[in-house]
Amino acid sequence: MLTKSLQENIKQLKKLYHDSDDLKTREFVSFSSIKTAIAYIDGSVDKPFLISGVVEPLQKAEEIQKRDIAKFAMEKIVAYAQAKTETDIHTIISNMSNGFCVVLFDNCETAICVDSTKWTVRLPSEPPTSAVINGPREGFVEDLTTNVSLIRKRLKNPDTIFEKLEIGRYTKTQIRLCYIRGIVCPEIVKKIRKKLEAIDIDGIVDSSYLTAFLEDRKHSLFKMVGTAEKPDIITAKVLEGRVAIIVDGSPIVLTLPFLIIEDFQNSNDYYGVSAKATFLRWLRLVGTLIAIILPGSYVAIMQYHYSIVPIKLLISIANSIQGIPLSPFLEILFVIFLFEILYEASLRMPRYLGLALSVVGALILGDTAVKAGLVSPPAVMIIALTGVMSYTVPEQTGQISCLRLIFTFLGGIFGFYGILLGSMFLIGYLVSIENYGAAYLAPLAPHFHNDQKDAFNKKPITAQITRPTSFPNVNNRRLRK
Amino acid sequence: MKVISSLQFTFISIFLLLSTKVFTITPYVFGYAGKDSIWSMSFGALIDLAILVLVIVIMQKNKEITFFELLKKSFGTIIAKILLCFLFVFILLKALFLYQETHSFFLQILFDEFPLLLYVIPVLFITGYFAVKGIDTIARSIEIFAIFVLIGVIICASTAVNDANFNYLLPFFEDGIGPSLDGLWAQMFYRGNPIILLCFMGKVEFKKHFNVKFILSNFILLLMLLGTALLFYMVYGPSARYVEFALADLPQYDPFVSDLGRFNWLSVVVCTFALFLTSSVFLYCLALIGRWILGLKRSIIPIGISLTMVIILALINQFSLPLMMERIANEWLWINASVLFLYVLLSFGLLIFRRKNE
Repeated sequence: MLTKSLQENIKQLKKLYHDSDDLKTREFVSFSSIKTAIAYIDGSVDKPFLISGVVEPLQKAEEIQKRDIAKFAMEKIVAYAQAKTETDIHTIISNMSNGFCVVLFDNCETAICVDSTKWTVRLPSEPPTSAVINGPREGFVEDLTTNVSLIRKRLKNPDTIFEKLEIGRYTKTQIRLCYIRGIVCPEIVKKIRKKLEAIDIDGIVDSSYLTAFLEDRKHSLFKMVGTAEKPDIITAKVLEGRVAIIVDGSPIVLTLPFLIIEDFQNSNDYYGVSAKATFLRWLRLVGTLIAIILPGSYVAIMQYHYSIVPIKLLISIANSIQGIPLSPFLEILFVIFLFEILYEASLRMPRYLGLALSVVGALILGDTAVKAGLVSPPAVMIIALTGVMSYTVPEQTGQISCLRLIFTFLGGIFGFYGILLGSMFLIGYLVSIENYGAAYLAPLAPHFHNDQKDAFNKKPITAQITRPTSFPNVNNRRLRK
Repeated sequence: MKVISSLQFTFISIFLLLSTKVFTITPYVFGYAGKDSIWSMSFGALIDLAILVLVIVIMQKNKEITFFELLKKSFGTIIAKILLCFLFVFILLKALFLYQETHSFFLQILFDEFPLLLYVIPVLFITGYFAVKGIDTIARSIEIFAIFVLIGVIICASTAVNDANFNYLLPFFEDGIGPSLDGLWAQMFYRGNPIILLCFMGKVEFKKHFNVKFILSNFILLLMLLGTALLFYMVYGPSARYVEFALADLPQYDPFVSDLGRFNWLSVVVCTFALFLTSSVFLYCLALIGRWILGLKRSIIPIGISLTMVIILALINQFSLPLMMERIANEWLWINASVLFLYVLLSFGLLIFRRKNE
């Protein structure tokens, strides 16, 4: 609790902050004779506002004979700013850590906490991973308030709730659960809230930290929590009955329940012609399947089932693989290894060098490896093709890479039989996942007829009269005609 | 209790009908009925359809209870368990046959050498996995693969159309109806799969117009299978009996093979999804019946018992398809036909019993 002595209170604050350099205090006289001090965390407050909105009005205020100066000052002097009175030192510290400035008075056990937050934030810009041709270009930033305002700008109905949570013993990270009351299934909100409240961790640095706590299957290869970097996407998802989780310090907003079909949907699909969106979604699906299965199938065909290949193509392949010292299986593994190394290196390298390296890697290394007779052109072509195809669904690239490797092993060891069993196991595993009351592979399996309008076959918004039924919601009607 | 949708139930039924009719049945029937085989097949299809209708009527009349509960209510626990034992044997033999048929298919079509363990361990693991996961996982997987399987069957059949010769079938009934009836009796091991659907009683969410859609879709599938059999007989003529895997060998004379490659084999490979998933359905039903008989809550033990029995029976038959076919003709045919006959009688009995009660 605060004491009556100003010096004692300042001392307490400094002690609690362990004399940290960014804790700034400044003493002055207010109401002509009252010793006053302001305390704030440097870099988190708007200094011009602090001077013009708090310090100057207090300095100019005339002498008063009130007992509760803090309350009077808050009501009369800094009335236009968002402020509150506090007596508990730990609450004051918590407020200061969130960008509040604290005004302390001598002979007063109450302080005023004035919201003067001004963190260094970047402006909302188009996220590099979610570029669109049509549609809004605003993206989330690392500031919670900005992100909340970006969503609120689009969801003005008072039923849109932003529920406050704080996680992290040290980071005290602010979290907001965003959902629309009257649409969202309360059970889902309850489950998410319960899981978040149960987290007792030293810090949450990014929203991705939370995904591990929200996922029901912690060791799954597949992601169980949706992510988005754009407020229009989050708005659409919340309108469908999902819950968004906004984390301070992260431009990635999480959504639940998550279905795998969401990764095949792109925000561009909703701002263009539906027929094209349908075509593109099928293209993404086919691209993903080819990216996963093609290397394994090539190995299986070359090692066990070459009679499947048309005779002319077989002759052409046979000519190109002549003299290659490695078996098709090892050859493909070698090229996958090269590809992954190049990919990893180009990501970590400085931007321009990385670009140059990827081109050099692809052209020179690939060409040289073929000329040296280490690998065959079909193998390089297959891995290059599947490498590109794995980016048709950018959110699943990591999973596709792993699955590609697994299927290559299956094809190399068991031939088509392995690929067949692998596919069956993969589908069996995916269909068995239940994520916050929703089947992971819905609306494909189980088949939801209504939701097919926004699955791989995209229908215009006028045809989507109801909300998705693949996951629970309490208000199914979306469009009234 | 986990329930499945009408659509999923329809697909399961389609897979059950399809599973044992893809490879060996057509050449096997030809061995008995000769060029009248297509008539035997048609009669067999009619039997399947009739059983299907019977099963659906029983299921519709008892939506809220399981098959075991229905049997218990009608005959008492002991008789119910004895009846379930017969059904267990019926399904076990079918499951064993399906595993063997798929193994032989892979061995003959896709591999020069195919070590037995390399087949047995993964396939038992996968089907076991599906059975443990439960009916909703199996049903959803079938929902996904169904369309590919049906397309695969159509591709396989359609590539052979050019080689078909209708004269191979003429004249009809040259030696009277006897050979057709011989063929009909011989295929009784392959028939009667819809009886297995009784295991899903009380687990299906029936929707409006379900009956019509269900019967129609299964009827179309039976027609499709008959069409495939017809094509097979028209392509191979008198040598049909020497072919082992009908669907896989159907496009053998396809003139496009050298240009397009044997992509038809890929279609067949896709069709094997149906066989594996149906094996999972069999295993699930065996586990369910095992649970009912033994009074267990979890499926792991009955699945383990069923898989062990499958392996023991396969070892007895030396993992040989010809040996198994011989057993079918001499022993299993009788066992399955008896169980089928018993269950058809039982089904009628249950319907009459219910009507009297009402």
